[in-house]
Amino acid sequence: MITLSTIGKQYDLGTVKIDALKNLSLTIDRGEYIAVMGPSGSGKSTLLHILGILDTASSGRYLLEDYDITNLPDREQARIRNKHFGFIFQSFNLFPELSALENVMLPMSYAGIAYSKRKDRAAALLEDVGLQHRMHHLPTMMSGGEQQRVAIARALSNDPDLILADEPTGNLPSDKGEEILTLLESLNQRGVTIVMVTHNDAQAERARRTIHLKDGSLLEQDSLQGGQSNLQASGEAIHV
Amino acid sequence: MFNESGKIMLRRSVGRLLETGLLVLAVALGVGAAAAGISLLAGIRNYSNDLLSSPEYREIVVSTHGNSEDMEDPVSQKPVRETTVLTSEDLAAARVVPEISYAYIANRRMLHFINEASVAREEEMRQNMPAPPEGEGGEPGETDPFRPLMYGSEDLAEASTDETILIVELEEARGYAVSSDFFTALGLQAKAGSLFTEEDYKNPTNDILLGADLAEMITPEGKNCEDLIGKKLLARDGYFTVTGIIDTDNTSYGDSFFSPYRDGSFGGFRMPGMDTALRFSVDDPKQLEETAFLLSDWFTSLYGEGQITVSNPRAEAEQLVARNTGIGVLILFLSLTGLFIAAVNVSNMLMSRALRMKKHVGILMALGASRKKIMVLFSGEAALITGAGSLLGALLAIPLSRTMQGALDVAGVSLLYILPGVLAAAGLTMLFSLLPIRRHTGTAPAEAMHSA
Ligand SMILES: Nc1ncnc2c1ncn2[C@@H]1O[C@H](COP(=O)(O)OP(=O)(O)OP(=O)(O)O)[C@@H](O)[C@H]1O
Ligand SMILES: [Mg+2]
Repeated sequence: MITLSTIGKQYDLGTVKIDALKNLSLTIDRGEYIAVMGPSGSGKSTLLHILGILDTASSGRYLLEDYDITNLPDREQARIRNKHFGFIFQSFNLFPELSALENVMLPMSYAGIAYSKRKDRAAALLEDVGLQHRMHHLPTMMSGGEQQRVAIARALSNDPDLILADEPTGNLPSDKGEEILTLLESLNQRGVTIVMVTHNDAQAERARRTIHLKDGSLLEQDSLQGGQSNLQASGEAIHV
Repeated sequence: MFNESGKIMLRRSVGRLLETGLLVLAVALGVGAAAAGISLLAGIRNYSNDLLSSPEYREIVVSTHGNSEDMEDPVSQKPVRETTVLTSEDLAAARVVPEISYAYIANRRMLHFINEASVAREEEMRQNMPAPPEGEGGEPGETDPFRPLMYGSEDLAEASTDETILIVELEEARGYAVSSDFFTALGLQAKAGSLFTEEDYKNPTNDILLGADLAEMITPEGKNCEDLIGKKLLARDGYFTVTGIIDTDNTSYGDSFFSPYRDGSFGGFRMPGMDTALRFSVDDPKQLEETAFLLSDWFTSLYGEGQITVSNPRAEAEQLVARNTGIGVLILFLSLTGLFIAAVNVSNMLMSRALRMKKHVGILMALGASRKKIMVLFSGEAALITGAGSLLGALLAIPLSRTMQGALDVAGVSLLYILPGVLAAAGLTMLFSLLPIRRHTGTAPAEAMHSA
């Protein structure tokens, strides 16, 4: 689904240049569940941003279903983010001005879905994550776990192919984190590709593949024992 | 009407009511001032054009020395001038200047109306003055119509029962004794009754015509102006019969009356010392200077140095116009400065709003908003603030421009002039409020999202 080849990302801070990502190549196939691990500052978030076209790489190539998206116009990039990607952040990033329902409806408005339709769908999504009773509440009135579930519902609103989650349980107590993880796993079982940054070894274990970053470079890849049919490309991405 | 991202903006605005209110107020003040300034200048220009295009400012006034400057004063106290008296014969001077299209006489006259107030004043005066001058007394209704009327309160009471007499509650009215070409030269028409006939100019008569505004003023409640025709007005110099009402729209003659001019008679007024003012009008104002020069030459050669004054009212009017235009430009400059300062401040406040919205923008973009959609969103906010402010500003501009026009004596300028002013000022403010929007679209969503 996605092929990154020799991606580099430099931050130019005037006097110093920071190589957040160096010469990184990675292939992600449809249906994968990948955990991204690595010490703080190793470039995990940067990688996720580039994958989600929230940032552009300084060098290298990004192919999405064989299309090079690097030079797509902004409108097209926005459309891809809207229709094909779902984002889940450590700090939830819900809009405090909008109710849970409206937060979930928002991405659908960019997809051009009519008001009543997106309202129905948002309600159904919130029900799926167990929040049918909190639809009209503002995020500030909800617990972290509930907010993250709203964020997941929002990420799912346009039926994405890929969920990019940056430490989705980082701000949650472990039992709530468990709920979120279970939700993500069930999504993966329904065929949604998931790339999740985590510091938690136990969580990484449950992913089908784990990649390790250090100083912006890819270290190694652990495939889940037994190998899944949808992981066939896992080997080739490390050598470029 | 609003989608979810619109709701974010709206609720943020409502949540920061003070800030939003200040923004709207800043726009309102800037737009209001600018619109008032623009409309004032436009009004002045329009008023000036109207003024200078009126026939009154296409004429040269020739009078005996000392008369012309004091035309605004009640003239009866002026000393009699013995040396030179101008008459209708002197209108023949028009023949020496081919540019002159009309020559006529319009002498300042006044009517002092007799009414309860004037009678009371007179009776008080008589008590203070032991011996009234001999031979000045007289009874109303005597044969000489120009005999000063001495009215007591009983006479007044009697007169007020007379259907044909109208007691005018004004103290006085100003007007002109005019020769026959006056109405033609100024293009004045009767809108009720009729103008003077040739006969009226030849024989002494106490007929008068009223300017439309004067007629309006003295028409009794519940009556029409037309009902004044044939009514006798009671004044110190006698009875004056209204024979017509002049359509004085777009002239300065609205509250004047007119009587027929006759050489030596002062048009039915017993006013010693009134000199005759000859007026010579031309078609093209550019010919005024030359005409004034030629007339001055002519009358000097006729009556000698220093006897005759030739004046050009247009030159004075042009000075007034220049002064008003100068003030208008100054006010416009100040109000535009105000608008500029307001616009810069609005821009700044929106900029700081924009910075606070940066994380929101990052998230919106992550969720699928294109840069264009973000721009539309913030333009919408700017448009709403500018729109609300401009509406308020327009309301502010109305009394503001009224006051300024009143102060400059160019009242009667259409409020429609405020509209382009508001539009222009709103446009400028909008432009300024759009400046911060570029802020939103310059950064990558990832970076925007990570701002606080
Ligand atoms: N906008 C930025 N400007 C400059 N440097 C940046 C920027 N974003 C990230 N970096 C740098 O790039 C490197 C990688 O950052 P990144 O956020 O990807 O790390 P991370 O692996 O997600 O760390 P953490 O586990 O703490 O979230 C770090 O050295 C960081 O300081
Ligand atoms: Mg990170």
